[in-house]
Amino acid sequence: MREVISLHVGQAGVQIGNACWELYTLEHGLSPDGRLLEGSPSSTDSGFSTFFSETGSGKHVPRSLYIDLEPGCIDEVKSGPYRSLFHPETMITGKEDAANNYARGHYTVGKELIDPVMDKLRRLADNCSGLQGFFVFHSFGGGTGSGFGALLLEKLSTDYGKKSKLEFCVYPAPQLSSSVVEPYNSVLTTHTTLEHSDCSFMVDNEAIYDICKKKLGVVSPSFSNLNRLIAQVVSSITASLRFDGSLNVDLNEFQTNLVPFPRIHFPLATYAPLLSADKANHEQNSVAEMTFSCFENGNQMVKCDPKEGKYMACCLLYRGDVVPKDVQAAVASIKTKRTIQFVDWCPTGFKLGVCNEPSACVPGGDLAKTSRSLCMLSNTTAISAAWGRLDYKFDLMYSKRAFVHWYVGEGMEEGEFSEAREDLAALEKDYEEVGTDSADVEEDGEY
Amino acid sequence: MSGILKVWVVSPDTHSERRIDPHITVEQLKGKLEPITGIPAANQSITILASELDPRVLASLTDDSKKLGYYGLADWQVLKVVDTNPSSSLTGQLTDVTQVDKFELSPEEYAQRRDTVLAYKQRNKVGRFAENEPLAEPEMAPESVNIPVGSRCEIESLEPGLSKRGTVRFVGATKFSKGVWVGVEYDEPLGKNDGAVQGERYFTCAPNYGVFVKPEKVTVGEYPVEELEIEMEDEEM
Amino acid sequence: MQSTLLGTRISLNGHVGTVKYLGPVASTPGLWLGVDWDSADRGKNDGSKDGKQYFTCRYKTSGSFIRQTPHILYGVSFLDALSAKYIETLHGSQSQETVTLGSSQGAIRVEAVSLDKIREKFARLDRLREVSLENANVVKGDSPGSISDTCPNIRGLDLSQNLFVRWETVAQITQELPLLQRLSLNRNRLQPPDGPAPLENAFLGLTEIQLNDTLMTWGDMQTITPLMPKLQAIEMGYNQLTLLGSDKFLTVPNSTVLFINLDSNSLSDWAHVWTSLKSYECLQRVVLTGNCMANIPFPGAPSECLPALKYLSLSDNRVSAWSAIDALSCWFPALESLTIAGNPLVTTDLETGNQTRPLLIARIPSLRTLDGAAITSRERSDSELFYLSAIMQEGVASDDARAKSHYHWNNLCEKYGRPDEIKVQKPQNKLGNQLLDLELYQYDEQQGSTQAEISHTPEAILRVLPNMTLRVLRLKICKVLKRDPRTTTVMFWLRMTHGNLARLDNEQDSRDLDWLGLENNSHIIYRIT
Repeated sequence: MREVISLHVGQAGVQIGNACWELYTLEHGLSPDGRLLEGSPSSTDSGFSTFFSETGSGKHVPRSLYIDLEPGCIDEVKSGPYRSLFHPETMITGKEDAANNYARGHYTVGKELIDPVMDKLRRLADNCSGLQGFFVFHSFGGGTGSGFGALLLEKLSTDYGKKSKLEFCVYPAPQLSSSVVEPYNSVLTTHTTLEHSDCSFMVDNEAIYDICKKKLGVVSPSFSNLNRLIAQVVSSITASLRFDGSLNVDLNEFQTNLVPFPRIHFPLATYAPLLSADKANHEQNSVAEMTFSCFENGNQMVKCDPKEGKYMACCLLYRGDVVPKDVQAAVASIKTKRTIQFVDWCPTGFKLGVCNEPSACVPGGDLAKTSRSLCMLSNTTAISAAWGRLDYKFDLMYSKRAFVHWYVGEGMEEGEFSEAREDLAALEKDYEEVGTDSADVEEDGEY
Repeated sequence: MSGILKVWVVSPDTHSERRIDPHITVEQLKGKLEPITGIPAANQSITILASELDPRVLASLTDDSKKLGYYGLADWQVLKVVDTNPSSSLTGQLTDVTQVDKFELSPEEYAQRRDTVLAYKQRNKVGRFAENEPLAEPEMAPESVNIPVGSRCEIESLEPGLSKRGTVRFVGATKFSKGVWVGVEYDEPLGKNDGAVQGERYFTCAPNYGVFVKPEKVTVGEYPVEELEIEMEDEEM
Repeated sequence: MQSTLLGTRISLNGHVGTVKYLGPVASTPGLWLGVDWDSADRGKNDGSKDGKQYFTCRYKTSGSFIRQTPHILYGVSFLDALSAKYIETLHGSQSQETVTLGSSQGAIRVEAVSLDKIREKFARLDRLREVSLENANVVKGDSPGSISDTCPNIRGLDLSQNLFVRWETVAQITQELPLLQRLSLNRNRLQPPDGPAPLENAFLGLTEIQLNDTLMTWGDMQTITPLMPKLQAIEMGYNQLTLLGSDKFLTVPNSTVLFINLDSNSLSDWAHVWTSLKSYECLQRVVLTGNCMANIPFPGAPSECLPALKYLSLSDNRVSAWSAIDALSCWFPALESLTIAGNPLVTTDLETGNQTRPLLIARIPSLRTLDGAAITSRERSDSELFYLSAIMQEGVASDDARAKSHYHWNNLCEKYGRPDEIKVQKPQNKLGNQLLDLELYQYDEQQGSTQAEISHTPEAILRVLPNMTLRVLRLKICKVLKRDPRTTTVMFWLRMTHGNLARLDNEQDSRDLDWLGLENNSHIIYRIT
């Protein structure tokens, strides 16, 4: 067995977790209390035991840990419709919140909680016969997500050094800051986790918000609308681990396939089709059209311009009714408005795979159910624009020493700010360096 | 812990969805909102708006000792926080990044770091540090490109329905770019030149009938010249 | 030859059309096929040539004459199409498969990982649960028993855009799929069946059917669906429907269908639509997005209402009157979710900055979600109070008149108590020719909002006549504030009893203060811009 443990940290981590596990149970034909329903595709495919453990009574329990420094979000899970899905032991809360402060999540308050967390995690790990690794869900902007998330990854590195550690991160929205200290928290957590995480999938709430509004017709999207869409992407990424697919069947393959150099481990996720649940199924959602829309703007989960970037690595993860010859034809004949450029010295490459189990759809959700979908994970230099924006905001704040005393007050050394910021500057330079050697081509490749 | 409310917090520099316990006092709320909005608690003036789409003011939180429930705070309302004394705080000063220069590592500082992409490339002799290898990607030799001059061909087109057909006039290296290029004379004026690029002539044809493309875009075959009156087979009216 | 070809569906380079003519065309040699293409963009004419009509077309430009060539496809059987799509020769596990990525100048090689594993999975036709044979040129079924032998596990089947024209053909295929639940027949052109007999056992387990862009009429659909005893969802979008049903169809009551999607048709007759849908007794969700609904009359009788309907999508229609919203609440007393974006009623108000959401919420008491956003009980009560005060602002004389133009007036009064009459003192004021004292407050820029704290003393107190017009008041305020009225713009609001502010805008300039509800000691908030 190749088990994977999901760790959901802080409000964003927990709420995305709720949406993900809801979708997983639908996809595997499980009832909200973890029992296999009649006609479930998982009655013949045991792949889902990578994510669920079975109890003696035939219940399937998520291999997950919910962690939050304050009790609110997790208490909601405990009284919500999926309360009997999770084992109560796997939900850990503290009493004092992180007050949007990385230093509290990472040092003062977080320190209190890390031992019980590692303890519970050890029990989950002991219950696995061949643990592959971890998915850590957290936000960059929040205090628990950034601070405790980083602390947890450091600990995972110490205690489970050889296991894969992947992250799903909510990156601060470029236009709408959710708190003034987001740039600090983000830069600090990125610096701390850079050497501990093997691969980090980023989503930014503003990109998701725009998709909900423009493509799915939700007038005023809330976290629950956003998180359901994020869950759809997470589900596509993990599909090959839960069902038997052809690409990224093992957790470490994500790193092998997507990360050419350890620090450049932030693939951009893109999803298609994004169709409103209200529209009648009208036009053909062909493999070729899905593939095309993933290379165009508008479907990606972080605000940046993928057409401006150069690709280092890319995985096309097709799901559902997608036969190999259609995929091969679609990929060979894709016609984008700009030439797709690559970085030619990279050891990784472009890969495609199929998982023939289609994605499920949450009843009453915003997204239409389709028989096929595509999630593209691309390691592209375009995403460095996201770091640039964040770093610049950090500089503006730090030049005024704004709010620095909140961090120092929690026992953080001020030197950590400049150390983190230099590391991020180096990361930006890394992306520049990556792009310098690529073969430049005339716009349309003609003279 | 029932009764946690989901509300929007809006301040000059921020906008976010938050979970708020209605049992806390206005004073406690201000404490919580300080690290979010960056506005010192003493400067905060908070009003409740009906919703994001409906900015009617429902109440002002004027009494620090009152609990939020007293003001009737409810789900999806908006807590609007303004700074009553921006001169004593940083409100509004954290968005215009042009005030400062962005911090960048100098090339030397970057080069000194050990775990960078640059160091990786140097160590592994890849990219521009590759030894004895031209910078360009491995190119096909002109003789390996099986496109005879004079043959009919079709060129990959980005517009569906538009087939670009023509005759191969040139195959080989050029001065305008590296690698092998194929010069084609189109049947129609869909090209970019008359067979010359950057002052160098490779073949001759009418203006805008000539184009140079990479060999991958060329399909050689018995492509007839498309005319309005075409042969019996594909006739349509 | 001729008789069999006419009416046949053909596919040429991915375009599908119907053969309408076979024969000579004046002043040209040889025989021609006259084709009516499904897409108006594909053809060249309307079936006529040099003034002579050879056949008729659906659109003015969907017809053309073509030659019979080997490129024309006349179709394959279901199982042939199934095998052609799902059975691929294995490439051998040793060989690494690569594809050159388009738009990359041939520079990017995409490695297709372990596709043989996927090919093997798809090739197990007996295990397939979800099958899509879209645009696969299926024209016929197969020999009896062969489909159930080959692929008995299919639960979802997409047969959109194929070449069959007979429902009997569809039935021949589906009756061999005992587990079939979902069937998509979008973009086909199906003729009504000759009789129900051949279809009788074909759709017994079906719960969802999609008939989008089939140009089927409502009547066509209703001849088929009685053969689907478990049917829950019907999609009839993009069918150019202007009417549902007509008198000649006796609608049979249906108690299984929960969801009907009528997205992007041309429906405009509201009462007619719902009379037709009335026979679906358990209908919970209807999508009418992208139609032409403008007028929504009240139901003629309580019996016309649809008490089970909970979800309605009305986005992108032409609803412009508030009475339409009142009518909705009568038609659907249990309506929980409504989408109304993209109607003139809400879009024009967005431009003027008026808020329609609270008024929409107040006018539909059962609503819980509006345009995808949940309505809390607090938002509901706020909206209803706001609505009540807005009604009072209208200055209508009697409650009868109010009840007439505001359907829920009486209920809301019952719920919150009838709001105080704003100009209850009107007769006294008039008789006594009493002056009003208006307290003037400056808009609080610091707060950045229109909420004014009335803790401090007013900037000024104005004594005015109640029959003074708003225009004169505006001038008077300028005078008091020592501003030149020609260069100053003054915005002002009346503070309502429960603290909300009502804007007194220029459009009301000719109204008198009495009419506008200004009373003695009313608070006026002004802002100079």
